[in-house]
Amino acid sequence: MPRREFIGGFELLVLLALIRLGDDAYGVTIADTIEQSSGREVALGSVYITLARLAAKGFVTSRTGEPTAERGGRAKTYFRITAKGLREARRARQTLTALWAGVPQLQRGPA
Amino acid sequence: MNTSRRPSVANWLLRRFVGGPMRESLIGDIDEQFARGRSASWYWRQVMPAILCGFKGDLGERPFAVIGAVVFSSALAVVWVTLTTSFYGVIWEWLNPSIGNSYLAFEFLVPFGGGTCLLWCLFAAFAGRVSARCTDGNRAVLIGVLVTHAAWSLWLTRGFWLYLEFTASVSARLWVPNYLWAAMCLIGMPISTVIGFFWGTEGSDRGIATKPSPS
Repeated sequence: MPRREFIGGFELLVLLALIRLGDDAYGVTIADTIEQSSGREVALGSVYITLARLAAKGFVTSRTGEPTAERGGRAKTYFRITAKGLREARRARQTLTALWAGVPQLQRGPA
Repeated sequence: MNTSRRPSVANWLLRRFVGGPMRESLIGDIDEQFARGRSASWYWRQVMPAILCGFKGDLGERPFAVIGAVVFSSALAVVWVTLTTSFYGVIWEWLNPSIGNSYLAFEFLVPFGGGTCLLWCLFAAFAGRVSARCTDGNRAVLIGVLVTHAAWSLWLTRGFWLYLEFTASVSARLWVPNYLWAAMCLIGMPISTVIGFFWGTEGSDRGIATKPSPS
């Protein structure tokens, strides 16, 4: 079986946020998207650590944006998912769906 | 819009200790979120993950610099300890014939102990500055040097902490300055390292190492 990179749970959340946000994906919007979906607070440092890991695996690319006064003149870094990252997200979905299927405990109903 | 001020200590820690190629973007993002109405406790909760993120980035960028800084600091510490031990030996020999091997002779050494602590702090500041200059202010190097110095100062002052009861029983006049200097060595060393490091980074703030935006 060929060796391939696996992505963790939080890495998958970040990848999905990147797909949703498109060209407007930077630290703040990525963290907001994950927070709204999960209902849990997300540390920006954790988002950046994950983005660096995803970039090292070739799943995301980055470019420097414009600085704003609100940010104390600091520029944003925008992130975008690569074709390889998109393939990995699809694979992760297939894997999760396959594992989900046919498990009665995971069907609708009281926990 | 949040009009309250950022917690000053957390703000200082963020600006001073967060490194890595994404430093500017990360601090900018935290400032932007805070300006949009996040609380002071939220700001505090961002500090440690941000420092960890910067540390990982800096470590990945220059792993050998971090190892080199730790080895360099330890080597300097070994030289320093050897020199001061010899110095103590010479002073002790010089004092002994005149006043005998007594507590009085030991008390004469106390001011030298204080002086040694001060010099030790100066040495730490020097090592911090050299590390900063050689690595362009790599924060992982700072943390490496800081941990090394903290370990060395614990080792150097082990006598004070291990024989606490004994030293206290010898003379009240002795243990107050002794513990004061031992504590000064423990606290002063890391502080001196940090001061020396930031002195070394003055005028060379690190930028973002990402691809430039296509115009």
